Amino acid sequence: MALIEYRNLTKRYGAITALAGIDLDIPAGRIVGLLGPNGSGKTTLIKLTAGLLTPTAGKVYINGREPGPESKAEIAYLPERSYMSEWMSVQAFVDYFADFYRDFDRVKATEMLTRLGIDIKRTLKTLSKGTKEKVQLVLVMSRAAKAYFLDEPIAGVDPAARDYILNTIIRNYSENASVIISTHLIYDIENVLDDAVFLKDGQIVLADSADNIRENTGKSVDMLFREVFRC
Amino acid sequence: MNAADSRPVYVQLIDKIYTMVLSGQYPPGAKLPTVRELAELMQANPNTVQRALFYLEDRGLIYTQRTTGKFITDDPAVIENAREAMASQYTGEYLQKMAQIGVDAASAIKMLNEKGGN
Repeated sequence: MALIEYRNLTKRYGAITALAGIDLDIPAGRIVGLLGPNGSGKTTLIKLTAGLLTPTAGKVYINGREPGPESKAEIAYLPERSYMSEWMSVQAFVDYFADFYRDFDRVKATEMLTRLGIDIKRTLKTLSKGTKEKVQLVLVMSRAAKAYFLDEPIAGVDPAARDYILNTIIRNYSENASVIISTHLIYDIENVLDDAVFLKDGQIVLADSADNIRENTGKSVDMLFREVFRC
Repeated sequence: MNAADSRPVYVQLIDKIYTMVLSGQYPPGAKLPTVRELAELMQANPNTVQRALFYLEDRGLIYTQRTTGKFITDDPAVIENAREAMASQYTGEYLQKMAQIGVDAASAIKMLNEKGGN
């Protein structure tokens, strides 16, 4: 049994098919890139896994169970859009995570925020976009979850913030958990990936290990992506 | 690591670690950082780093001491072999590139000699 299993997972919004029969296994201990252009279904797939949407057809299994209270406790989710209230202080946000998630490691989070030089008394509205991303990532990665779903964690941040985010993912890597990163910025993250999943119009067009892709095609994941999704 | 390099990342990592050893950054007998530290240092996937280290261990460049971690071999023969192998690879690449731009091996060697000051 894989950590995450998708079986013919389908999601329609009215006449629009966002996901058309996804079949995929994600084993534990992998860093997986969920790669596709805007509108390819990445966020829908993540939200279905997190139990924020219900499938039109098909199933998601997390550790053998369909999304529910148990799976929510096992999944750490970094949404694409901030769900933080701007008036909250970083401290209040840490408290909020500590209240909400049993697996949250406050000491670890505080250490990481200190190392970043973030004054936890500051309110979120006074932080830059890159710093906000970092704060949210620190909180999400400070959970001892089974699966981390990071939706576009590096979009719109500067290269230094991007390096920090990637290093935080590497540093918190555990062979018992998986990290799923959705992005269209493949060049920046591909060396961190075990596996790459290409999504196009709600379907998987390729799912393989990053090293296999390079070995078999003689192209980097980024180069192959550009070919598959050429406009 | 360079994402524009289309070789598998573990192959790039192997080259990089060889280079770090041969340049003396990790001298014979030196302790290697942990997999996680190396992954961070090279901004690469920990499993890929592990794969590269397995390969290098298989080749005898590094060895594992059960409780203390991974070390560079202190066998000079292994290191010299690695140096020769890499040097031979670079020389091949040099000649190949020269051939690509229409310079034959004899002329390429002559140019090397001139550069080397002989």
